[in-house]
Amino acid sequence: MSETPGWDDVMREFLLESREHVQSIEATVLELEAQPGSQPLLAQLFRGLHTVKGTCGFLGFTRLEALMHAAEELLGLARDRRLVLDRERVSTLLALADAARAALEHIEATGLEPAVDHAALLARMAGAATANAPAELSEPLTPPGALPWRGAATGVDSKLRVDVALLDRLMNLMGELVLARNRILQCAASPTPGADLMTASQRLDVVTTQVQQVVMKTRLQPVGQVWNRFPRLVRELAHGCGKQVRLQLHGADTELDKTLVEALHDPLTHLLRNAVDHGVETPEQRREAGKPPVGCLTLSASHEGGLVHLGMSDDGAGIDVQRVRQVAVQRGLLTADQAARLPDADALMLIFMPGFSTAERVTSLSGRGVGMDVVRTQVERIGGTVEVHSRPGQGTTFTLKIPLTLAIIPALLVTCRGDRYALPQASLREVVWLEPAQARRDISRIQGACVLRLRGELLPLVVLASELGVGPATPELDEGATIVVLQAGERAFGLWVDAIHDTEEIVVKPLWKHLKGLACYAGATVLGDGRVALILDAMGLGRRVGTVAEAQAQVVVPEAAPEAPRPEDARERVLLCRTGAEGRVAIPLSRVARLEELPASDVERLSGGMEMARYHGQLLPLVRVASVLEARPGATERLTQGLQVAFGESLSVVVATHSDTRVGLVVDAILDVAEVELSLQRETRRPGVLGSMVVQSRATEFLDVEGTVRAVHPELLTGGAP
Amino acid sequence: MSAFRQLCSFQVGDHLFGLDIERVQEILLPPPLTRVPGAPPEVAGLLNLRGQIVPAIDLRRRLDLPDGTAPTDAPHVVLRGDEGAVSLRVDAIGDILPFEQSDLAPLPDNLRGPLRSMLLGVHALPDRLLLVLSADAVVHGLAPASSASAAPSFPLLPQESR
Repeated sequence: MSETPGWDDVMREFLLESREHVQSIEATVLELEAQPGSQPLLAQLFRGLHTVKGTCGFLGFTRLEALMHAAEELLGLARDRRLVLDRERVSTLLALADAARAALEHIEATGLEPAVDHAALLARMAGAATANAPAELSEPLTPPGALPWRGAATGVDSKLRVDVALLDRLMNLMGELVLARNRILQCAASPTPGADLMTASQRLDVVTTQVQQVVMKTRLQPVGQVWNRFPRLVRELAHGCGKQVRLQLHGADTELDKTLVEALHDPLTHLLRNAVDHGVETPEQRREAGKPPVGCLTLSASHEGGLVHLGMSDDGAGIDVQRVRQVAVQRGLLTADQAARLPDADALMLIFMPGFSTAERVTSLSGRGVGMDVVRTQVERIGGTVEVHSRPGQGTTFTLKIPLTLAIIPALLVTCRGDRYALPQASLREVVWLEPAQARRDISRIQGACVLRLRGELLPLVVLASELGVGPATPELDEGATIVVLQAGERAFGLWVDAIHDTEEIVVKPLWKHLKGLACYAGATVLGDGRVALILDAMGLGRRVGTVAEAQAQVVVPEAAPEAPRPEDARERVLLCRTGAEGRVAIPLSRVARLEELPASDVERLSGGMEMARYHGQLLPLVRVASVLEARPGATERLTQGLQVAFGESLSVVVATHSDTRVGLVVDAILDVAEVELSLQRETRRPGVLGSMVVQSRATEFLDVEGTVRAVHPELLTGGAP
Repeated sequence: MSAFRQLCSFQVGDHLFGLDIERVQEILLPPPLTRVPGAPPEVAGLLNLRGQIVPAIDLRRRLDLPDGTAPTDAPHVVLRGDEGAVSLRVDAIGDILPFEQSDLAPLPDNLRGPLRSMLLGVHALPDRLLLVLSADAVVHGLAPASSASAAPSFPLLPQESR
């Protein structure tokens, strides 16, 4: 087929043009469904079909031509108002668009028309063209979620259409760049470069900046590029769930970098699916709630403060925060008390945890618990953030904030043990330099973890050298401290570096695949002097700040000035007790009814090993916490010692309630009451322990009251008091 | 592939190694390296090769040879690969040696350890042995970097004071 010169060009042009037509045919058909009988839309559709039909005939793609012809027949009737484009007919036309798209793909790959028999589709088309009888569905609708063009990011998408004026400007700038280079080469060769080199390099600077800006512009794509696939998707999804949904698009011409446009496709698709499947109610439910039966999904995009804001909102039922809490408790992510104390906004964020799903049933669309965490990961990977707001009965809004581009970013250069690192400025909040005296006053160390007091705020500090494994965990304060305050998602923290250098625009290059597992780097770049510098990832470093954040919560807060308001979010008051020789456990105060010192003589041992104490005229079953927790090798000796001591005098008993049952938890000593941040580390898988955390700078286990009782006396939990 | 090839030879520790010259992109004088804290010990760092960022592997460590004093002017052999270039730090560059597939003797059975998995065979030169390296095995077999140093674990914390 390449015997004719220029044939390839003709084909390329044909494919590009036909694809665009098919895309616009599809969009027009969907619009027609919303406003059937609109003559301008019908005319537009007709023109598109006719063009494709014409070129197909010219190139000898007869099957495709026949398809387009059949569609023209159908539309001709619609134009003459002899039939209405109802839902079935629209579906038929969409099936036609799919078939045409598949044929074009085949033609691109092989140069030949596919040998597919379109008889069924043609028959369906003919059936639809009979004015009276509504067409029978001879072919099933494409199942939602399995749309044939889902991965259509190939072919045409790898090519860009660039404004010629932009290209001319780029060409001119390249000319200037070459001149600037010649000038610099000449200067460098001269024995005394001096002032000439100065002016030449300034010129180079200016030209490079301009080239960069123009190239950036050529890469910018309207976000509508991603969106143009969504109306169809929403239609199919809504039909699949028996719902009626209208999709509104605002700001489709908002531009962002091509790579980002592509990276956003999957997260947005996922959010749309979720919105249709879970967010929007069925027409009946909506009528009952006094809303119009057709749900409304809105996608919007805008530029704000150097970021692209993408919003996706539905007017559906909203997310049931209580339900989210329940699921979190069922999954063991939080205890019931923790969940109850979590503010609504934070509870909503739980939907982004891996494996989290509130769906009662698994549908073909969603509810498998995969998804929202992937959405968040993908958005964070391109440097963006996701927020969610929901109002019961009124709907849910997701907001994605995305940087304009990824490739070239402004960065702050910092040093650590002689090495330079680049810190992207997007996550930078401020830079703090502390004199030695200030450093000694404002930086507190809690068992290796450092905290900075900054204008009434307490910031966990990450010591870069120690994080990277090239220096001690706590640097000397006598040299002062240089701290870069970073914002990683919701969390702010201070990065303690050795020194700060200039800012520079850096070109981000990905890290070698063998180094990609290193969470603290976002890539690498070449600096002005030709050396390579690693780019630090604020998100990655921020994630590792977790343990520090917990440590600081308790110890420093009481010392801090009272005007330091901290979000008292995930806080819980706990009772700190000592058990065994060295164990420290925390018992949620909400579970504690009383604290008692009972004389050992009041304790009676029943057969079966159960111990009972006489307590306010009743018998109180006792559970020795140490015997549950210390059930590990090597702890026996200490345990018996502890018990003997306890027996000699009196027992410290924490009276806990479980529904109507009272249980006495025997501990060695009651130490303190503390308020702690509830973020447990769950690596401990011991009976009676929910997890461990750092309280008052000591590792403390969080007691699972039920689990402890169950381990010794399971019967107490099932029945009432014995 | 034809049976006749050329090997780029270089010295690491006490051994002479050879790599198919088709896989060698260039030889570098010691370039400035940027170390990567947290990376596997075999990774010597990153270098700037005309604007391209190239990872450098310390071949001595990679082959698990005894730590010796590498010369300060240790040159680099840059390999071309499907996923970009990778640089190998060696001790000294040797000659280009002609090589025929039939010259390649199998590895001695008593050779064990990581070195074995990265050799294609041994070529007996008149005066010494030339160990023929597999470029793919050297680059791709590298363990991925593990993330994040471990958080302080519970038992390491000091005991309760009474």
